[in-house]
Amino acid sequence: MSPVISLQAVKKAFQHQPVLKGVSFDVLPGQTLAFLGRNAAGKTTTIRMLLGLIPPDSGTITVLGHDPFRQPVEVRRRVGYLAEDQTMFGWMTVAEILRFMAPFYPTWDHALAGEYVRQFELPPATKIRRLSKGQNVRLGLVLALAHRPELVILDDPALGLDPIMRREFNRDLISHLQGGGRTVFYSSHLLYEVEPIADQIAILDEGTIVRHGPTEQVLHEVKRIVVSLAAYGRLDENWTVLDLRRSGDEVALTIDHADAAIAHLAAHALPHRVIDLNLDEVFEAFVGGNKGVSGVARADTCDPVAVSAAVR
Amino acid sequence: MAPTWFALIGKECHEQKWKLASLAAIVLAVQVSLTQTDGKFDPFAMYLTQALCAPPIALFIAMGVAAGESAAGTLEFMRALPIPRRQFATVRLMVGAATCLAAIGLPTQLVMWWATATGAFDWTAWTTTSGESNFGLGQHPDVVLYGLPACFALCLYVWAVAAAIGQPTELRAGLWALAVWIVWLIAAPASDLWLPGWSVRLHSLGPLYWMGSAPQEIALVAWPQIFIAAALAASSIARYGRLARADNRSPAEITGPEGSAGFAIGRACGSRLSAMLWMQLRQATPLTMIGPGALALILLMITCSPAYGPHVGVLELLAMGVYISAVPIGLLTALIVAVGSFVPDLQRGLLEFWRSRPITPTRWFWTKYLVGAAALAVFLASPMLAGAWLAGDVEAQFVPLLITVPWMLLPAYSIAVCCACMVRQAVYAGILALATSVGLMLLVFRLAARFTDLIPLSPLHVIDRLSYHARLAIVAADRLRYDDTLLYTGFVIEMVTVAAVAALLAWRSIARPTRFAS
Amino acid sequence: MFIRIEKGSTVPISRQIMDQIRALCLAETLKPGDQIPSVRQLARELAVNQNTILRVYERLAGEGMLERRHGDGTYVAPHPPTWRMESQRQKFTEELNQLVSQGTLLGLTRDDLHLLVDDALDHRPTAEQPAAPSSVSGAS
Repeated sequence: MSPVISLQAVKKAFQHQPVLKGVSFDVLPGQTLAFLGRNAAGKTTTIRMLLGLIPPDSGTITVLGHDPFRQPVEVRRRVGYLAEDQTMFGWMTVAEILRFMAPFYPTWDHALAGEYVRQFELPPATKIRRLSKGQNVRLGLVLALAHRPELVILDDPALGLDPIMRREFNRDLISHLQGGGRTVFYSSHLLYEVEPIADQIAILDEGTIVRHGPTEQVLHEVKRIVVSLAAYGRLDENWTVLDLRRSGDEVALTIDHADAAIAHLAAHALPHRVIDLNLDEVFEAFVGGNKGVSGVARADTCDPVAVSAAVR
Repeated sequence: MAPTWFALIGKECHEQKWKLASLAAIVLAVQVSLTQTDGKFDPFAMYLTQALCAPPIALFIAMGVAAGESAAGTLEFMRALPIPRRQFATVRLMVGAATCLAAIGLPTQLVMWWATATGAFDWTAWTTTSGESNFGLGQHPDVVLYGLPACFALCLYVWAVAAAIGQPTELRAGLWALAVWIVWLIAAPASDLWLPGWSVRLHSLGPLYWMGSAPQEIALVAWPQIFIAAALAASSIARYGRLARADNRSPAEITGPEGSAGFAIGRACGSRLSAMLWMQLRQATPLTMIGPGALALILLMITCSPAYGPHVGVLELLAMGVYISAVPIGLLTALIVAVGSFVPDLQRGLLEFWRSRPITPTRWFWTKYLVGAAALAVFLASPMLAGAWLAGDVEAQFVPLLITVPWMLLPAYSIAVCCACMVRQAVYAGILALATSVGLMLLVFRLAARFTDLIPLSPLHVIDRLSYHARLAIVAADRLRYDDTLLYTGFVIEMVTVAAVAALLAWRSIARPTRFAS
Repeated sequence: MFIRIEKGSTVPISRQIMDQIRALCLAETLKPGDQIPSVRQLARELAVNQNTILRVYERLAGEGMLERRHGDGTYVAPHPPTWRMESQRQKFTEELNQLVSQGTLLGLTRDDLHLLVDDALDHRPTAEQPAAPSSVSGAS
């Protein structure tokens, strides 16, 4: 099964400021990938490259079997796209923009567009510049979905939706897109919303993918382990420590691929507690966790050599 | 003064400084190129350049002052600041006024210094010799060269701001300001129809009074003018930053109509071409109509004006109306159509929207460009050509102008499109486009005058030559026949070439992908 | 079939759903032979990825709790596996042990704990038994 989206070592810099430092990942047909990252982590840049709006400095991008920068029209016809804070022609009415956009897509389903307008409670005769923020996002969704695209790329779609609409939208995403076997690539800040929906998550931080995998697998593999300071000093395994905190004479380590670590601790009969984490905590450990390391390294009772060995 | 005043003044100055620099540079260029003949400085030409430059300067600055904040989306932010709205509005209006004065005063001062220092102009000789002529320039040179232009620019500015306040975008603000000026321009003479003797009085209270009046007349209306300007400024300050109309939506608009019958979205466009045609026509046509609208108003004014008695034929009046307004209105309309239909689509958000749809920038640009040009041709150029055809029997001098102007629309439109695509900001694109179009016309003219062996293809020169032929034809009591086809063909080729170069430059700047850097 | 998902919990969504369906089967709120919603229906209703629901159903079918009939849907298996009951019982014992130790920490005596358990047993049947089944079947 050839991937719908494939990035190989993609790099991009703006004014010598690297934004993406070698991003590689694949999205397989039918998958729903949630693309997570902090603001300015490079999510929007990646999405713009998927649509061929900007070329990568190096590396290759394939979307639906095409290079989006060389064959942008072919790619965009088969992709539904909703930009973050999407601006549309303010002087057109809702109905007018749908009539206007229709001929650009060979697969446009005008009846479906009308159905979405009804479902999303959009006023068709109102000018776009008079729509509220939520209505604007929903109109953008109609434009992204009405041509029944094979791949849907959504940049923070839940941003303008209230909780009720968000739930409705998630349901539609599940029945219409996942049910129809379509591939969905979306970025979001609302991790609670992402968790039930996404097959896969990819976490982007400072221009690299720091974790990519099936949602529940990632949740299962990242654990927080609390050990005593004394026991911590005796650790010398090469674990992927994402976050390190000290409280009193205990040390809390957030570890990726924690099964091996737990097995190791058990084998050496070191007393420890294992704490499950939710997606929020996992995300935080990946994108913001490194700061904790120095805090413990400074701890005087702790052997610095052992700490550095444990950290990397 | 409290520190908030300084902060506000600093912010406004920061916003105006580039506008001031670009406008002053343009005024300087116009003045340097127009005020000398045969190495001599001509103060009267100076006065004329000021009269020429003041309206665009006032317009551009007023557009920014009245609608810049709401167009940039910072109005909400300013409204939320813990300072009175009026304080902010006062500073904004005042700094704008100061910019207006500086944009016209600084270049004037520079040119005067330069003319005096190089000996191109002898002030005392001029004052003693020229007497009463030229609006009292000889007797009150300071008033005429500094006072009148300052008052003119300020008065235009205050009226423009008062007319434009509350508009959501700079383009709409500019259109409102223009509309008020033009209405006054027409209303004052037309008022004589119903109120005999009032046209002068009305004119003296309006925004266009200051240039063309002698200093003695001006003293009479100075106080009423000051009173009116103060009232307009106060009303502008009071109205600035009030809740925009978009916020006053009716509940029905927010919630949408009830019942499924209200959700009809109509039939889809048949093809990409028809969709693009529809879009650009919807965007460009209302703007294009400004040209014929203004023409019609001016014709109405002329036809109604008692200055022209019944002995003047209607056809002649029509031709004359088109004649006097063809160049300014034609250029301005071409500029508004280009800037108004290109700049909004090139703003960050909208640009990303249509660029991410399945259409190539090349196709988008050329459809838009050609439809805009076609709209100009249909709604503006064809009435002018029709006017030329009608006038051919009556006033042969008008004909050359009416034939050349439609051809000048094309390069003016292309240059404005080019500026809009490169600058992507309405006010600056407008300034740059106007300066480039006028500059190109003047530059070619001056070069042609200096090097007569070059083929002179400036529009002004062509008009001149064709008028000469037309006069010959009248003398010969013959119907018009132009045999200078080489000149005319050359002119058309030149205009089309300039237009094509500008359009290609615009297309290149659109097609480049790098503009997306965040 | 009522299922409640707690978002942001440390328990993965699939485990939450699996535990609740299993509990409903063991409590016989879902009776052997009952049809349960299709993967699509449940996914839409809960706004949860279809693959997640599919995994849950397959896992439960693997345990013998559910029965997937090709082209017909998913049913509660006629004979819930007894070994599953064993493991549930074991889990319950563990939880009870934890509760007891917590109670001891709070200073409850052996007699206090006995009394509390007696109270809970006394209250249970009258409060819960009649209402549950009818409302449950109505929802799916």
